[in-house]
Amino acid sequence: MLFPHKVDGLNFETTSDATDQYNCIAWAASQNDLVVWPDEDEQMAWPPELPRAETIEALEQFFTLAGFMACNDASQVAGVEKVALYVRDGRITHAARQLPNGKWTSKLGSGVDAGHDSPDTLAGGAYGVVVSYMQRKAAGPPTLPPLYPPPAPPPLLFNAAGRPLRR
Amino acid sequence: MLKLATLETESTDTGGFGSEYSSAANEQDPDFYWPPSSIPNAFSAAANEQDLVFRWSFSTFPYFAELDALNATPIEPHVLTQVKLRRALDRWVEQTQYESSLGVIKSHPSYAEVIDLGRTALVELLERLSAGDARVQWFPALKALAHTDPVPPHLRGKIRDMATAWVDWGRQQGLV
Repeated sequence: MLFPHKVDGLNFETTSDATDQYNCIAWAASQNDLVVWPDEDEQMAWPPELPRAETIEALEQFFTLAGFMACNDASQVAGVEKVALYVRDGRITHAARQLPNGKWTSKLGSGVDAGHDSPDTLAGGAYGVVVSYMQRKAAGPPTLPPLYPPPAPPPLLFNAAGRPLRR
Repeated sequence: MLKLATLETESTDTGGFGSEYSSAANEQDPDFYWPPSSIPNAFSAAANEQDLVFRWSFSTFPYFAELDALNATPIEPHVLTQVKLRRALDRWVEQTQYESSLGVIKSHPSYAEVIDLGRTALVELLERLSAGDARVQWFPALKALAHTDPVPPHLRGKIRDMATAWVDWGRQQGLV
């Protein structure tokens, strides 16, 4: 069974149509235009300085770069947003994000977005168990760590002597 | 109706197999005749519409000659390959739709089936991308099939842009 604790309409509701344009990690980091994953084929976005391995350490490093730090549980704290990281058979499977109202939101693979009461709603099945919680300040725009490749350097505005270039 | 064991007589009944049909008493048995009365005869009156459909199904079912002819029709190998490929792709997408892990997606049996089909699979995936059917699953398969990756690093993870890069590459190679 994919999600044995999920009950539609009770602790789970679909909030969008299915799409392949983004995935759970991007959605947990508040992005909806990118698939972020540490795949060994280097097909999906991933910070170049982090290892491309489907391990919880790599995923925690990703969220650390995005401004998160480890925390203890899924409790709601004002002004703080949390993410829950899932692992099954030693391999990362999913990430969910806490909303300001205390509920949680997930992007299910290449399927739909969903709201759920707690991280445990999606645990116990295909996604395994929650092994880590992380948090960051909710204020401000969502930030992602720099993704490969680094942005192109700005055009030179000064000459070798340090003087401004003339237009 | 066909009366069974009509050649048997009391004098020739030796009590062996089939001897029970030889006695006159067994003619009262509903299974004495074929078809037995439990199966409606197409020529008898139908009790209702369902009964009529039931009889029609009995009267039309054994078109074995037609079925044999259909089965004997040669099917081109490339058609079989296409059918096998499309079934594998559909099953792959359906059964991994809730997976984000590309490792899990690649460990699905359909991935190996698709890769085994080589150029046919490559062309099919490029055509699907060209038609707007861009899925996360396609990209690791395309890279494995084409032995190259035309997606520039800054477009990784941007599914629409990755699809465009692959379709452009396919056109350059004359595959789409």
